[in-house]
Amino acid sequence: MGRDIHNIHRDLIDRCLVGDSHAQKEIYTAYKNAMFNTCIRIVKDFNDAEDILQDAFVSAFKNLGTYSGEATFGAWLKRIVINKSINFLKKRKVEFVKLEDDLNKPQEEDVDFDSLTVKQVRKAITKLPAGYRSVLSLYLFEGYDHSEIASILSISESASKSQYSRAKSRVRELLTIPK
Amino acid sequence: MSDNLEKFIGKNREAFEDQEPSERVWLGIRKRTAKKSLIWIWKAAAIFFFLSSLFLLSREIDNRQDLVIQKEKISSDFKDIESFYFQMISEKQTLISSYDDKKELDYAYEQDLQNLDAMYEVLKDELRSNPSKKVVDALLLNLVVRIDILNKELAKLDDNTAPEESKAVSI
Repeated sequence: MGRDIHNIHRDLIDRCLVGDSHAQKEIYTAYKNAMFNTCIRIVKDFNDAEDILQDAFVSAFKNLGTYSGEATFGAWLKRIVINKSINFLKKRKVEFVKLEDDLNKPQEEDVDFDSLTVKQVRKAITKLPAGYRSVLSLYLFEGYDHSEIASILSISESASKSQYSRAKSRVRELLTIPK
Repeated sequence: MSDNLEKFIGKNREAFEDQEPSERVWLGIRKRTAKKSLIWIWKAAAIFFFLSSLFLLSREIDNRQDLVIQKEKISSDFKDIESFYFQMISEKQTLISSYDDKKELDYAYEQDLQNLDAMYEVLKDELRSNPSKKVVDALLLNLVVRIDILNKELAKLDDNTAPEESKAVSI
């Protein structure tokens, strides 16, 4: 095979290509949690995230022949998961650019992150509107830059930057609300 | 420059990865990708029928006297059944091609049909040179498997259009 697969799963991928269900299970087990967390951060609902995860893996296994090996298998798979998640939001008419400006933005120094737990920060992120949450997740958790996010969400790069900035402001605002 | 939120997430990245999907996700994936394994079943079936044909061929050599009469009868009987199944297969293929939106089809079924075609030609040669009930059964099975594949693809096309409509209503 002439393909240059940059990952440790080359043998598993070749076995998946001939429909080996054991190899598919191994690939699924290796990536399910990372992909599920990526998915649930974007779509928020647990059951929706499970449905999307299932669709993404089925699509990946069916289209494994198109995987060129230029990116790592994990990056290729993650892009499928993200595209499915974003398409899910688009079907629910989520706006990725038109959200109101935040008034009374809390300043950076207003939030003491040293006193916060992961649970509190995650809760604040989960409360973000879907558009903000998507941009923030793709940038902060998935490591995409704004030009990549712009391409994924079909928005401009400047819109991605402004949405990200607003998303962070909203998170700070949510974290400063007295519990 | 990283702000405090970015620093917090960077420092606690792994703690944010604590969600796990339930077992139903894998069960669904397995169910939806299981048809791939049918290719191996068909290959095994092809080998089985080919070997059966060879075995029958060796036996038929001992019964040459009846062979000519048998050939004509089996072949003529099979022709009627064959045309009936061909018509049914043709109707189902026409129905599949009439669907506007076939993007969800993976077209693996077309490869399966081509494999069955090749298998069918081998069996037809066998029927011409050495007709027997076993060969006719193998040919019939081949036709029935094709109809089954086409039925599944039709069901899939129906399924793929229905959820889209229900989702649109629920938005």
